[in-house]
Amino acid sequence: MSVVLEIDGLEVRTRGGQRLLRGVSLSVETGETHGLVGESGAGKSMIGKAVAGILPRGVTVTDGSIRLDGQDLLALGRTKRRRLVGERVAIIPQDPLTALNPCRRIGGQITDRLIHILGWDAKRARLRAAELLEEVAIRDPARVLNAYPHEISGGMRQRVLIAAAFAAEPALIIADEPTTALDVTVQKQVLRLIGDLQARHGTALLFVTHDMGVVAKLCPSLTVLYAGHVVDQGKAARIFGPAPHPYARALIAATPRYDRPEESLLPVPQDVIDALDREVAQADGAHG
Amino acid sequence: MVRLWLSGGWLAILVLAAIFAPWIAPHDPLAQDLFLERLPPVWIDGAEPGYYLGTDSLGRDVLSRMIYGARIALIVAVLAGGAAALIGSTLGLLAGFYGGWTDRIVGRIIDIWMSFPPVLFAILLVAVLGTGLHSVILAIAIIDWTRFARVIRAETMAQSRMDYVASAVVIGRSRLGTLAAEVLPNVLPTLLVLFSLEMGIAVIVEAILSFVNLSISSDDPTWGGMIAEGRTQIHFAPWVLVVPMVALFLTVLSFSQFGEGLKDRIDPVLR
Repeated sequence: MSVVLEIDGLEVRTRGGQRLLRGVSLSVETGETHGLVGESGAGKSMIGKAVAGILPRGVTVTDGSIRLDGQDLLALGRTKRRRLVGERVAIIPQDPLTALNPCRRIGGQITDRLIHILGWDAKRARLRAAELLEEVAIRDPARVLNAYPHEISGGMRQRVLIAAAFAAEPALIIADEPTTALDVTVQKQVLRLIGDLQARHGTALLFVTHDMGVVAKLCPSLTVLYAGHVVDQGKAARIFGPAPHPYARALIAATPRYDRPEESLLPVPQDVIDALDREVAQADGAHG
Repeated sequence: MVRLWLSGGWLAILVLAAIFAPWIAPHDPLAQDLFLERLPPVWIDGAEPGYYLGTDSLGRDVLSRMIYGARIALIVAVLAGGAAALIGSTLGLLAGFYGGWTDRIVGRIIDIWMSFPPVLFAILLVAVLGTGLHSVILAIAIIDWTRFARVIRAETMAQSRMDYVASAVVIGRSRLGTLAAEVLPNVLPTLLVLFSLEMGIAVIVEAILSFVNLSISSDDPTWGGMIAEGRTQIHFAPWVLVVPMVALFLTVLSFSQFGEGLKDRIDPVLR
């Protein structure tokens, strides 16, 4: 197994100097699923955006390295980096409503990658797009290819996005909370679909979520973030095991459970937060 | 749906009248006949057959002048509206998409531009450029591009934050290509509505400039010029004032309603 993505000491700051990521290191191997968990604002999505090179305006990488297939992305020129990322990385975005261009038919939005990245001709790309739609269990691919995004349901749109992400056979897929905008019944299908496709295509998956239940099911290894700081990292079996990190335990307790409602949806205890804040302050101090 | 047909119908009548003016106008719009001065329209007693909307104080046929006036109104609407749309939306797209310095510079220019009172600015410009149809068109475009720039900039900004723009960047589309292929089609409905509104505004501004005698030569029939003439005759021949005002009102209303109706039709999300 080879390492697809290796992030080392990644630091991301806003123009005002506020740290969004404080020295994050992680690595993802071929075919592996790595979970990235934390509360909202912990910087989970920033990692994916830094890798893809789509950080918001005014936010920049200030330290560390991102290696994709062994090549340091931050050392590459803009065009080279774009090409490498385009070929090797795909993103499944959070909100299927804004991820598809409302003015363009679905077909074109899937074949974009095939035509742009792989240089296929339009006809071949379209055939492949239909195959991909079948692969994500869309019953009527011909109709969906010609539809506009508003003509299909949210769950279908998310499946279209998954198909588009796998289209050009990327080495790494960054799934940024792909199920958050969907209702619970559809969530499960979509998760299973991502898992299946990933296993079949041997793609590495960086799975960003705040839902510990999803992580437990999908990710053999994970990174827990708090305020851009890595709190815990390692095999899921250990983190979900008998002696988890207090913050990981608090996140697990915050997930909804229908069998034991009184023990679920608990807020993170104040003493855990205080301990984390001390840890972050200490790390900042050590870092300078 | 209804408003699209009603407004479209009135605009179609105007366009046809403007194109076929020499064939459908019953009289020469410039021919004066002092024996026929201040004839009332056909529905009032004392009307002369053949002068459907009456005559003005120089005995010129009001209907013929209206028909020829539509020509000037439409030429100004299309050319001035088009020029303002082109300048304004180009700057708006660039400012909204690239942000940073581009946005700051365009934003400041818009702020400065908007602090001039538009009608006085127009009068000043025409005074500098000299009267005539082309300077009227130029003045309207120079003043009103900010209307497009502001709205298109905001719309472009909102669209640029969408994930599909980020996706286009990830698959390696160029910035300009993304702007043209992903963002532009999404601001097009807004642009169309604005363009339609702007055509109405251009018609009004032209009428105002004609009213203060700063448009084209006062002999040529313009709606604004007719209103100015009619004002002096309001007690003797109110139709000379009322007819162009009604036409002006209907035209401006039709342009705005046509834009709105068109937006509903072409926006895939609203359809």
